[in-house]
Amino acid sequence: MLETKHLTKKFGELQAVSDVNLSISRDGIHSIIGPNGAGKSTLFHLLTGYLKPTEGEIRYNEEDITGLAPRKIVRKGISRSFQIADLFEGLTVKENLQIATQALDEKRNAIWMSSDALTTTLEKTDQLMADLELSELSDVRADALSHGDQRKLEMGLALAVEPDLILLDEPTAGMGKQESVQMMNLIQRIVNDRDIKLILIEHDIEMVMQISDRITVLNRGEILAEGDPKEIQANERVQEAYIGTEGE
Amino acid sequence: MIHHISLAAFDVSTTQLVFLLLNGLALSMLYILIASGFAVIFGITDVLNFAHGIFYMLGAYLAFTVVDATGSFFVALILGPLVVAGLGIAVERLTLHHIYDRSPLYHVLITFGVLLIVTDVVELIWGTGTKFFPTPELLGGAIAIGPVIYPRYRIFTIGAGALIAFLTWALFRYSDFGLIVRAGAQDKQTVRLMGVNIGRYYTLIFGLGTFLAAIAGALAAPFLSVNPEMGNEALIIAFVVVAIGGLGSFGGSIVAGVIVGFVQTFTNTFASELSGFVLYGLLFGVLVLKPEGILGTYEIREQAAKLSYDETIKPVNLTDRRVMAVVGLLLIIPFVSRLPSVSQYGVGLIALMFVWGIFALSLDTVIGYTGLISFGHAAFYGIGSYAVALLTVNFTNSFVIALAVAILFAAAVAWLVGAISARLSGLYFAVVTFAVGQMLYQLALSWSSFTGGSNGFAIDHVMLFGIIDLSETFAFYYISLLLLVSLYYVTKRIMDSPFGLQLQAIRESERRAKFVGYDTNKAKRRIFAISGAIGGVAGALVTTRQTFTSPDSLYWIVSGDALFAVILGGVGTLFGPIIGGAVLIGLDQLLTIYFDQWRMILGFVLIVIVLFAPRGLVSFYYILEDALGNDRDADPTASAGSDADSINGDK
Ligand SMILES: Nc1ncnc2c1ncn2[C@@H]1O[C@H](COP(=O)(O)OP(=O)(O)OP(=O)(O)O)[C@@H](O)[C@H]1O
Ligand SMILES: [Mg+2]
Repeated sequence: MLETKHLTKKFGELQAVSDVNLSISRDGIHSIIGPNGAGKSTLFHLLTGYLKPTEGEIRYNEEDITGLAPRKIVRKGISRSFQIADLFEGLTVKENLQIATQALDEKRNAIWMSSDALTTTLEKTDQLMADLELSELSDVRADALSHGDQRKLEMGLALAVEPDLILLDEPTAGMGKQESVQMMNLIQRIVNDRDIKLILIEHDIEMVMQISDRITVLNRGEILAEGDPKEIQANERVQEAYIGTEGE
Repeated sequence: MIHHISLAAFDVSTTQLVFLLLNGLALSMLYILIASGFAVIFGITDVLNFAHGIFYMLGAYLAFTVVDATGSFFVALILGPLVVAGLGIAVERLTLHHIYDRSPLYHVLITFGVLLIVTDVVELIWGTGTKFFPTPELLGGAIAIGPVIYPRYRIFTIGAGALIAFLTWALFRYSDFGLIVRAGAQDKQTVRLMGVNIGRYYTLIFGLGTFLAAIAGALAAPFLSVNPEMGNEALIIAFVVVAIGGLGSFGGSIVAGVIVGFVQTFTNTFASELSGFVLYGLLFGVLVLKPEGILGTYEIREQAAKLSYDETIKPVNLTDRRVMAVVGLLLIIPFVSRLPSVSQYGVGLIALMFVWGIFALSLDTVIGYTGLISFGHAAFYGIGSYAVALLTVNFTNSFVIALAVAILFAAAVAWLVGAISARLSGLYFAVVTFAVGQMLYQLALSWSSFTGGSNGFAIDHVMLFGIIDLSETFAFYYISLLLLVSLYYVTKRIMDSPFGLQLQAIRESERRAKFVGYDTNKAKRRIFAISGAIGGVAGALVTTRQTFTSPDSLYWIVSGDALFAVILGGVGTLFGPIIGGAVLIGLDQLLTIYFDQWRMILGFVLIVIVLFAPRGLVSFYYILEDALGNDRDADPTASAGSDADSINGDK
């Protein structure tokens, strides 16, 4: 479904992503792990057009999407969340999701009609709010939400554009253990129901091992290992890379 | 311009060339000093300091007074700038210091308020005439440099300028102070976590920036003249140099200072009729090719800098009934007061208030809804004005046609401005729009065969349907009211549309708007065209009424006033800015009868509003609603005043 060839991003001297060759299939959950600064977020930035690669190529369903603008990549069916929530802070939960959902409507640029006349958009918005268990907070401003609800809304914005492939950058960042588990259950449920391929960046190794079908380990921009959870757990190089970064 | 120089060089002697090169160098040094202070303040505190030119001017005037009192230029050169730096520090402490966490829009407005106040204070103390500033005795006369006899004072300027610029650079490069400040500019949070009181550094930086401006003013005084215009000239130089060099880049302002200094010196000599314009041509070229400036960079940060619009409020639910009630009242005013000259004046004044309502409304769609700080809206106002004037003089005096043309032109230019600056956001946007506005101003000034130059020109009475003379008070009153009410409903409808929602998304987070699939650049171009069209209507109306136009309609102060009006009324509410525009022009027209220095009062009002009632006059509407026990659509957070004590992280 998604492939990269020799994907590389340099920031000056620093190789944040270095010669990464990925081949990600349609099925199951694919996780990307690695210590801080390994280049995980940068990889997402490259895949979604936020940054242009220094070298290399990205193919999605056989099509070359390297260097396309974010909005074009979204239209191809790839959406993402950010590690630090990027919400429409001054607007309500409902407006946030309505904006994102409306982006699919062919009347999204209409000037001379009320936005509330796009009934399908409104219905989808309500449905999504319900799926995210945010309905009760519909009229609360995004910046007034609890951290956990902000993370949910962040994911909601990525889901609203009805992607085939979703990239979530640490969706449980900053959450307690129990809350994280709930969030992960919610994610799994939604992704299954809507038949969306998920690529996940996640710090909690235990959780990753439980839910992933495949795992890529990044270290200093390079792929250190790739395989199913068992293989990764047994991999000595992975264990080495993680020694000393314990407790982060 | 290189072209001009090389052609001319054939009949220019070596002597003249050396002379010109030295002149260019002297001017460059001044520009570097002016611009680097501006760049330092912006680069570190993110404040776009519109008062910068005024501090430069104050430096010159104070030096003048100190020389007068002590007879010593060198005392003046140190003392004057120190006093100004103290003033800068006081301004920062009393105002900006408390609102760093707010939208940069408010910082801009504070400095605009300071500009209004200090301009009038200078006028009160020193009058409006040009002051003769004697060349200090020690530095008088001339010395021989190769074949050239060159004024000693200018050599001194070159040396002193270079020395000060070098010391400033060294301060940032090598001192602990510089290290912390540079780190803070990169990442405020981390520096705070290290236990550094970054707020105190901001105060010092502001002091340093104003010091640089003032010392440039004091240095310039003996060879440029000391007059009330010099502040504006310096501000524009600061903008142009910094925009060319790269906003907030110290190195950029040095490179661009040299470029601009030399280009100006040579055009003044070989193509003086172009001198005003070349500067903007240069700027325009840079903006089109590399909008971030020669040495400027874009940094992609995880959380892109965005405007915080905590100060906005949800539009009040102005029911159609309420609007109609107000309009009904306005409709009968001219009849009730249909008596002699006094009421004629009143009706005319109210009509002018409608026009400024339209203008502020136009700006609110861009600032309040889209989060783009336009500091060049005078451009659209001026284009509307010139479109009507030129059309009336050359083709027809039909209002309908003139208005249509004004709208078309203003929209087209606005669309272009939107296209050029679409890649930019935040204050970069303000700088570019400012530059474009000033460019048009220069064009109107220089292209005098077409525009009448600085005096402008008078036009015929503009007629509606060939029978109604719109320069007549009552006709003008009704046409303005009609246009105001229609445009209010048109913009309201647009803001309620899917497109309007998209604009708000851009305001809140342009990055996220892109990542859900919107073409945000296209949206920006469109809203700019719409906003420009509405601004054009305002300009067209004013000219119709006054049967006259001049470059003043394009001057950047008009843009500043429009911003003022938007904040005064209540940003992002459409009808708030209408009230703001009306109140501002009303005050303006009334105060001017009683005081010469009335803009100083406006400056104070602006600062007070920004500090204590950032939601503008509209917040009183909520207070009123509350008082009447009707809290249906009252905003629970709309308590004015509490915003003044902000969290600076250093308390
Ligand atoms: N815009 C940028 N400019 C310069 N360097 C950058 C930029 N973005 C990231 N980096 C650097 O690239 C490296 C990879 O960063 P990245 O954010 O991709 O890591 P990560 O794996 O997501 O880490 P974390 O687990 O902390 O989120 C880091 O060393 C980081 O400092
Ligand atoms: Mg990351």
